[in-house]
Amino acid sequence: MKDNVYEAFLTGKIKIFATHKDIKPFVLSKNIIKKATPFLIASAMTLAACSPKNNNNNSSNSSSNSNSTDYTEIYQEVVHKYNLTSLMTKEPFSQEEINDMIIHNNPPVLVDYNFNHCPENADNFWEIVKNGIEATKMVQKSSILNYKQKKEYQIVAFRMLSQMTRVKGTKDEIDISDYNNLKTFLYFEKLLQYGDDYEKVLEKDQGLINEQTEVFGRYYKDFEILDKKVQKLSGVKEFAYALYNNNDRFMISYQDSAQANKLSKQFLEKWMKTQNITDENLWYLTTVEEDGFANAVAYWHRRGKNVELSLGVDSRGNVDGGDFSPIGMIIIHELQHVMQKKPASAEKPEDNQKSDDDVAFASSSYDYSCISELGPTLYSLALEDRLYKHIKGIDKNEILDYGTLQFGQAQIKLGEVAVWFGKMIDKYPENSVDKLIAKDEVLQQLNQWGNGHNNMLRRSKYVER
Amino acid sequence: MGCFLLNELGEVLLELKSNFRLCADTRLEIDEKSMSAELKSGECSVKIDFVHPELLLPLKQNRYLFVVERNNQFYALNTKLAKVVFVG
Repeated sequence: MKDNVYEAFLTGKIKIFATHKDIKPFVLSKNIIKKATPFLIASAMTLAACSPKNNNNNSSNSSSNSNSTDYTEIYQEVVHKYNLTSLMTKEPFSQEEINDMIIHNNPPVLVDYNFNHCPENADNFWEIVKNGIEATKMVQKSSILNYKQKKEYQIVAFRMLSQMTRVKGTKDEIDISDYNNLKTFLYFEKLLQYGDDYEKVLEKDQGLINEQTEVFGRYYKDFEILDKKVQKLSGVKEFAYALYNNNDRFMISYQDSAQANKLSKQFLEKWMKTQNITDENLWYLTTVEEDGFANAVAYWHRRGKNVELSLGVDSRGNVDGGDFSPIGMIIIHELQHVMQKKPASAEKPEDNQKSDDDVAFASSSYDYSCISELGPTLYSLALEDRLYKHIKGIDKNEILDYGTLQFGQAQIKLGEVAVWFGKMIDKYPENSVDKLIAKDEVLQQLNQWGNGHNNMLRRSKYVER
Repeated sequence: MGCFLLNELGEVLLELKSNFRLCADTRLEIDEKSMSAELKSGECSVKIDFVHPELLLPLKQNRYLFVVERNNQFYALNTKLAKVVFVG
């Protein structure tokens, strides 16, 4: 029984929805979950909630009816019906017993500091688990952990205890070779070894992004649509290439870096709130001198695994080539790239024929047509323009002279592009920057500029920086 | 043929009785207009007639869900984390 997926579901309430329209949702209340460990939730759900007959009968008052159900009986019934011999001799701990284990924990003296990842016997198992429960209580006093992290320690400990099984009919006789018991042992052993080292115990690596991460591929379809539209618009391609390769767009100087970095973090906070992103472990801090992948999304392709991304950001805002970009702006820019990445990028069957070098590699290269850079770069330009003006006390609609983009005989001021795109951001409050770029009004303007036509009405005056 | 579970953290789990193997690229393609979905994995796919509207927001926020494949009412054959993709 692979019940690990249920760990995440041990919360106060679980709601169940059928895949047929005529069945009303069914609630497994806290009272039921208290009695039902993962095994039981599985059986209760399939027997009670998935049965149209049961559900329709109970639909008017499902939770009160379900309170009277004895899920332990359901568990035993299913085990016998399907002749699940390996489960016949085991049973999960009840919720009351787990609570009691946590509250009235009386750990033996910890003597096993070997951390050899193998329970020697049942006594050794309980020594580690009970001391692990104690360690969970101790980390609540840690000064280096925040509230969320402390809560996570509690939740994980609770999940680990909930997945244990004992020999049926005994109080605490454990099969130490049982997969779930072993997982519990290993977790508490790790906790005893690393204590409040959050990254090691809960395996949260800063700056490592995989397909489970909420931002990964969030707007990849918008990028695909934009890419398709741009194929017919040569001017947009020209513009994208010219903009990305023009370093005059980094208009903020080192003199203003401290203030700019501080302000950019406020911009970032606001942007993350709009995007509904709460995870601040998505990037790690580094320096451009020491890290070849700084200020970029690096794609890690490994044989047999899904693609993973790492995102390192220079902690001072330094950019390769001696330029400066405020740290918050770099993070927004790179996270926009993460949102463009197509998910389900795992190895394909035909990759078996390819060499390791073709399948497993690291890369931070960008799309050479620069289309993937177009949205994030325009966004950075507009935001940095506003940030610069905020520092200098200049009106946001004034067009400043940062430099120009050259298309044939025509020149486009970067300051003009920045103000125009800032207005587009305000006009089309899309969370996806590629969706914003794909608007007809935006594409049309970029295409005209890229084709060497500067037909924009200039209502604002230019001022020297 | 199955059901969805939603917990207080907004995570979603799909219970499924099927005969196809869940692969690494498992994804749930949701057509928001018709409130139906298709679970795809490798070459296989299975239609899901109804996705309750209450599930759409958590699925959008999380962009992934757990999938459990069962061979009977109790025994789980396979479990996988699947990407959520909105197609309609």
